[in-house]
Amino acid sequence: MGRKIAIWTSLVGLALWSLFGYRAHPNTLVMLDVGQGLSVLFTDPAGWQLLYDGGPGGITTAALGRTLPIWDTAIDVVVLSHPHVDHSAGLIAVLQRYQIGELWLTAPTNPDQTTQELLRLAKDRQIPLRLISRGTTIITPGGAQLAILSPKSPYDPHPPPRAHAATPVIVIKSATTVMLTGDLDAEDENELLGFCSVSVLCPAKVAVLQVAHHGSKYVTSAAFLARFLPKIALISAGVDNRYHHPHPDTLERLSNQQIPYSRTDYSGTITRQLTPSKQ
Amino acid sequence: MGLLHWFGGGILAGSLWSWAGAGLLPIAYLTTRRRRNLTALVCGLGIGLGLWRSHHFNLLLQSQRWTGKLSDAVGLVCAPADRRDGYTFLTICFCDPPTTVRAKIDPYADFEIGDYVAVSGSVAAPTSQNNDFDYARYLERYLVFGTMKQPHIVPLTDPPHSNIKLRLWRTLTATRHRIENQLNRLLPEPEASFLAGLLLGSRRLIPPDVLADLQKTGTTHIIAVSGANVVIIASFVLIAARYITFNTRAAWWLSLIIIWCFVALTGISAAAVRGATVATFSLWAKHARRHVPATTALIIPAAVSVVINPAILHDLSWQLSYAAFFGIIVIAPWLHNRLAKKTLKLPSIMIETFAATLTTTPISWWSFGTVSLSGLLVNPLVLGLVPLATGVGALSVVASSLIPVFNPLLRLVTTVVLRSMLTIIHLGSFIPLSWGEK
Repeated sequence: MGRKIAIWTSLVGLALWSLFGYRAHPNTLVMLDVGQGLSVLFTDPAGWQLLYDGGPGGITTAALGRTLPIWDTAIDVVVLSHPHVDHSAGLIAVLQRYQIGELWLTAPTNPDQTTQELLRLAKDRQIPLRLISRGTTIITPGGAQLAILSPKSPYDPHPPPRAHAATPVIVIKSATTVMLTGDLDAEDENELLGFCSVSVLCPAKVAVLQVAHHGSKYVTSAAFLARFLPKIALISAGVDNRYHHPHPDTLERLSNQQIPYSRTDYSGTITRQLTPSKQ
Repeated sequence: MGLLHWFGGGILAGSLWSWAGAGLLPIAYLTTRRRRNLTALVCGLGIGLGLWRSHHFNLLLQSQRWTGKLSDAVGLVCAPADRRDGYTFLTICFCDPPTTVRAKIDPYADFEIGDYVAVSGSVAAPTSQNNDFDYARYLERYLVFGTMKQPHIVPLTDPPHSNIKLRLWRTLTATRHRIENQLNRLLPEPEASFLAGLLLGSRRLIPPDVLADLQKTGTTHIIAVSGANVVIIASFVLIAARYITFNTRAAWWLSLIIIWCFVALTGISAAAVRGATVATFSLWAKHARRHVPATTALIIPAAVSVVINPAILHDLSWQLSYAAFFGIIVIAPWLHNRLAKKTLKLPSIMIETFAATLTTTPISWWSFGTVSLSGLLVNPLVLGLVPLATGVGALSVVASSLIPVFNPLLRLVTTVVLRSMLTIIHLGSFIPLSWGEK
């Protein structure tokens, strides 16, 4: 009798864990552990969701499946920051499995096979596309304000394009402020700093910063950190990745400014509850 | 039945090594009480067949090993496209030169089995990335003899041949894709790919961390279409068929047809054929009310698979699968009797798991240099949920296609069952019961 009760209690416990053990609660930011790539999910106070990039492949949908509630089959906005497979390939499986409200992207001047497939899939599934650039703003159903700070234009003015040109930088003001930078490169970072020295669109401080380009040494300069004064930095990088991301110089710059950081290669999927107390 | 046993044993021994065959003959003679000469003759015939088949097969292998340049060579995509993260493997059969190659192409290329293509590029001999893995031997199991990297492939709009076999293959592959897509739409990941593994044996889309957990806990066998999966399906079918037809004979035939259709749907993988042969054999024995000795039920399917493809003898999954079979049907009953005499009562699933672990451990140690005993704890927990997960999963696929209005409910129930299994496997992967140097 006692053994039966133990078995049934364990099974019910497992079932409850399966049902309610998800991470994407209202007002959270989840940096998914997708190996060497990037995929970040923001959920606003009303449950509206934005997925920034899709990581390098099928691993993203597994990470997403463990993050979203079982019954959740839709994502409101999916953003493709730039057409590199470590950001785009996983979106193919996301588009195949979830109902997507809108696909946001900057105009890829030279789309690779993955981006072409993504655009074909979006067309097949009648997912509206939206070209985003500086000045694009929306207010989500839960009251979060989204603003695109970079790039200046969705079109790269100087083809052939730089590897990471026109990566969108998104600022989300909810209970706290989040900045998503994708694979922002040094040129766009400097341009953004210039813009933010005069524009009110840019926040004075950010609470959570997604460190650009997996912690590459060429971006996230001391000037950038001094301008936005992040309270915590999140880095998406694969375990023992061949690019040796994040670079020690970047980590040193963060340490010099006394900014604590979390890394997916050490911690796996990182969940941040976005409450004012975390600021 | 005894003669069949010695015939199958002869084929296996003859295919393995000729001296093993020579050794088997006196054993067959000496261990048989009645009809000694006939037994030795049948065993000898089996050895002869095994020797002839392996010799013939080696000649075929030698004639098909070819390397060089192809220029617009006409080939046929002769296996389902193997789509992975970032690339696709395409198996292409050529008549001139007479060889079969595995081409690595971009992941979104729209080729499928039965397509005729013109191929240009270099064919190289398969080379291994590391010393522990013989890639050439691995590919020969699938009768593939060369590799190509990013060849130029053009589909032929006017195919030179078309036959019913190809059309059947295409239909089966399309049906399989439809089921996989249905699972993808219905369930979140990693549950969708895990269920595809349980039902169809496809494991290529299962995330690496889940595969690692399965390997650590010795539970990978549940996502290979094995005898167990086929027997579960066969049992469901037999019960349903009896209700539908009210006729034992018709139910038996219906079960057989459905089992082999299911095997076809899984891509006629070696594991599925193995499982289905065992299931068919045991169904036949039950139907004919014949007593089939356990070793005969083991040897005959093994011999049939070796006659079809002698290279399978070197296939690790084949070896592990038959070692596990041997443990379950020969060692486990013996253990059961011994323990019963000592009035020690253990659940039969624990005894079977222990027996299978006992017989597969030497092969794992020899091949990987590691031994994991966490399977002893995890397998009894997980295997209890396999029939439930298979049943609920299969029902969900059918019901979600017919009555989509119930999809949210089906998604909830199926995901909870599968996620519970995956949680047990994940927790089991932390049990420190592995030893080894690698």
